[in-house]
Amino acid sequence: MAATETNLVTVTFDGRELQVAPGTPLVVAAAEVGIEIPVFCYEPRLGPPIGACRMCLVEVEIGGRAMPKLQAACTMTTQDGMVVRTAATSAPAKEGQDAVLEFLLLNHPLDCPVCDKGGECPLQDLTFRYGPGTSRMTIPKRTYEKPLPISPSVLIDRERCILCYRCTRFSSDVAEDGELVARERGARSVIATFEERPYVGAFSGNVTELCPVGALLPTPYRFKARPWEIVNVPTVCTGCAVGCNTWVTLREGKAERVISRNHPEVDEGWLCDRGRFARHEPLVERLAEPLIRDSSGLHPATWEEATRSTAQRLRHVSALKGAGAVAIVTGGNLTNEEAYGWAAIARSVGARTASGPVAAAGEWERLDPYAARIDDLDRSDLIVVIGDADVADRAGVVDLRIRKARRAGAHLAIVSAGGTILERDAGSFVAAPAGSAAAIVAALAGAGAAPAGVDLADLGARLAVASHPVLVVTDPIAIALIEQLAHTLRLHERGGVLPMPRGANERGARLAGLSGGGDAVLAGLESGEIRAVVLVGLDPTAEWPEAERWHMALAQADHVVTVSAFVNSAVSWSHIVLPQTVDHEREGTVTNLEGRIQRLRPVTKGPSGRSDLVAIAAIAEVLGVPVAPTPAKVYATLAADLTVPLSWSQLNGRAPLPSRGREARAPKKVAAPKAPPAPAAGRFVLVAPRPLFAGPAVERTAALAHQRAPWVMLNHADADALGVAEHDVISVTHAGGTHTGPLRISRRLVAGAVRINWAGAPATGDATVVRS
Amino acid sequence: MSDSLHDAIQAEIAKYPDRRSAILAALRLAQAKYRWLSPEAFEEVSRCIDLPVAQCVAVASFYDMYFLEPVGEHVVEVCTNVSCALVGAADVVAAFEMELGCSLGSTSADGKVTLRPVECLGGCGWGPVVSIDHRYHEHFTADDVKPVVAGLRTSEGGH
Repeated sequence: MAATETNLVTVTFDGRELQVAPGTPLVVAAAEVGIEIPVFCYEPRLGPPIGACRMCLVEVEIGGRAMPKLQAACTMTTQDGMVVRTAATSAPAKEGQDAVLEFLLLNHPLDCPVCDKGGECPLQDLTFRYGPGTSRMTIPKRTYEKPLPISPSVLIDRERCILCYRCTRFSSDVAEDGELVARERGARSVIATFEERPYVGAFSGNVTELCPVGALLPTPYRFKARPWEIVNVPTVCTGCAVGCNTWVTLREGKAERVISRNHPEVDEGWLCDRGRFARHEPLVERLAEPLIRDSSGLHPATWEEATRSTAQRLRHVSALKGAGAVAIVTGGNLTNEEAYGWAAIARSVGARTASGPVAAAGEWERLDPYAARIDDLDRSDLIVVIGDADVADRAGVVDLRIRKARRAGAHLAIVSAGGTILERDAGSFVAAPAGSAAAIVAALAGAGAAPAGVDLADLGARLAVASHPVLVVTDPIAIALIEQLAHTLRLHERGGVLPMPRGANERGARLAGLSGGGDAVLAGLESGEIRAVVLVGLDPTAEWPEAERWHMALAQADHVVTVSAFVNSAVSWSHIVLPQTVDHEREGTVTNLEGRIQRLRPVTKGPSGRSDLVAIAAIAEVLGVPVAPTPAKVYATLAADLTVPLSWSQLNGRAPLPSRGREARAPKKVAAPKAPPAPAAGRFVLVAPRPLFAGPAVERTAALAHQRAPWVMLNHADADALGVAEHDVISVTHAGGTHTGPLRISRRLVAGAVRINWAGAPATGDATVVRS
Repeated sequence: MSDSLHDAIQAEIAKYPDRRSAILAALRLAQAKYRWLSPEAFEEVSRCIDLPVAQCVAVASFYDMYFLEPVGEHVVEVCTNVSCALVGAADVVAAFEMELGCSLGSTSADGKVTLRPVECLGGCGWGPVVSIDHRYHEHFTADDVKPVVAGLRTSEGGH
């Protein structure tokens, strides 16, 4: 604690004296001397306490004078000379607490035996520990229809609700979506959404963990397990590059649920709904065995045959056509150890590699001298977000951290085409043409002019004087440009840049040796230079730009090896298919956007029953390269090579982020980017950043269907000109296909642009917009 | 979108440091325009004030003065809290029900008058208190009902 000795005050809890900072909530101070004051609504992550549940009533005496009534120990804070008596030593406090509990249970059905929360329920636990044990309730309890869906992924049982308002505080004060509210008043209050419409918000599932009773429950987990028959395995979410720490609930060999495992420096105990709910449905279309193509099509093969054939083909092509005729391409979703294995294979056959679609947009290590940590946002006085993509779409819970910093007083400045969810409460918003993030960054770095009509003077002035500015660029632009801006702003001395890699382990894959971009591989395939390509955990025709070109180019290659968990379109022209494991089936380490190395633990086995590293080691063995088949051994080699100061065993629990040197050298000047072309008359500029709810796992999860329902957004003036209104069904046709959904009208989306939540292959350019 | 409501709400927002503070006024303006707050009215208010629509409903449903269901041209609200109840609010309610031919919480068949209970109007010393189109009437008795209803049936909507 930063407070000096002289600042401390003396408070006594049940006779135990404590020196503590003034203004500390009594519930927190009491815990410091080992006294538990029970709470339901108190949760510091939700902001200031509200004293709703009254469970924490205590007797308080200040300067020898007793306060006339019992006080809530969550809202009452420490003052010098306070004497606090909890229910353990004070008869009035005990009586008060019993009465509160009796009231909380007045209409609670006490149906613990059939409640999913039973066994891990604060209401059950605290009633058992502190409750009177009997009830005087003899009249029938109030009933409600139950359970009701709050959304397809969250259920509400209003009979169990004790109206602590944790969930509505999360919705209004943390996620700031305001979708979940308390309707009506007093005893008739109910937790509800508008017109019983589903709670659509990237973070809605967190309310199921905040609920201290069995009122809000995750639908996919309903009646799935009892707490005494499960094991919670600590691992890390690999849905994006944040690397939220999770527990995966295992019951009889099946992963039934994902809950948060609070890492204060990374996720603060929040998860996005993709991380929480994706992959929970029975996984259809999973590849379970290796396949090899012969003249009549793909046929099952043994692992031995498939790995040997892969190695032989790579060696053959490399021997025949020379170095550079093989490419190993990944979307950055491998573990560090798998990436190391593939990199070793790549070296032995002289293969080109790629860990992201565009080389220039993936050189994250350039930002190392300027790199910010996620918790730098907490200390920030200015957060600048540049780009058309939403932070939540690129890095889930970082959105919540930015909001928290803004509430704490940081100025949030957003430069984008508008229509993002973060911009509504931003301190300043600068509308910029769609796709102009690179030009904006260059202009701020003094390397070019700002796009016409974009005034960056105010932002520039704020950046010049901020003491701890954090810069976030959400669109995939050349890292060299961001480096140049970071250097110009001297972000190695104050604040920093938060990298936004696209793949969950893009940074780790590059460090392990799979650097390079898909653009060069695509050109090599098209020119015929590259004859064999390995696609690891990636379908470039579905996930990367230039889908059509990838389609043609891959069809021409002599050998395509696909390593994939699901059947995807790349499988249809592959010569060899190797099944892959996903998320909580994997073991190894991943490196998050900050560079923090965290450990994945295998919770379940994939349908093939084999770890990816074993297959990689088998291929490497044929090629005569030593790759150990166990992650711990590969990590040891990797850590030595990369001079990572952490050993495998140090990666347990909450992984630390060792501090790095921040020596910055002046970067090479980069040419200012060209402005995107203006659309033809009558057409709209397409703004279609990949949404959070996209990808094979999300598509296969019924509980997330409502989150990825398509929508179309237009500026209000454009909507008026087209004669369309909110909720009208609109079709947007662009080079990648047609997107149809209800209209959302925005006053901030720039005129002439259309924003869609397109989950297909990345689409840019222009589009036609019609009412369908 | 009706721009007069949008403009009026913007004028209310301008009075406060935070647009959230204008929510009561925004809802009142919408109710004045549409007589009651329909889901569509809430969505319009939400767009005008740039706050989530659920939060607008949360506020409106807390207060008795907002109508979340369609109401007649006139609204008669009878305080049924304890002070008024002690001096005969139940008789006043019964007289209104008889005269209007509808029960407490519903609207007369001709769509003219809605009869609803209301929480304490702050006139406990002068009960029973009845609010007719948001104008308070004190010491209201069952005998007052007949002429009042006759007047309401023949006049244009006034709330």
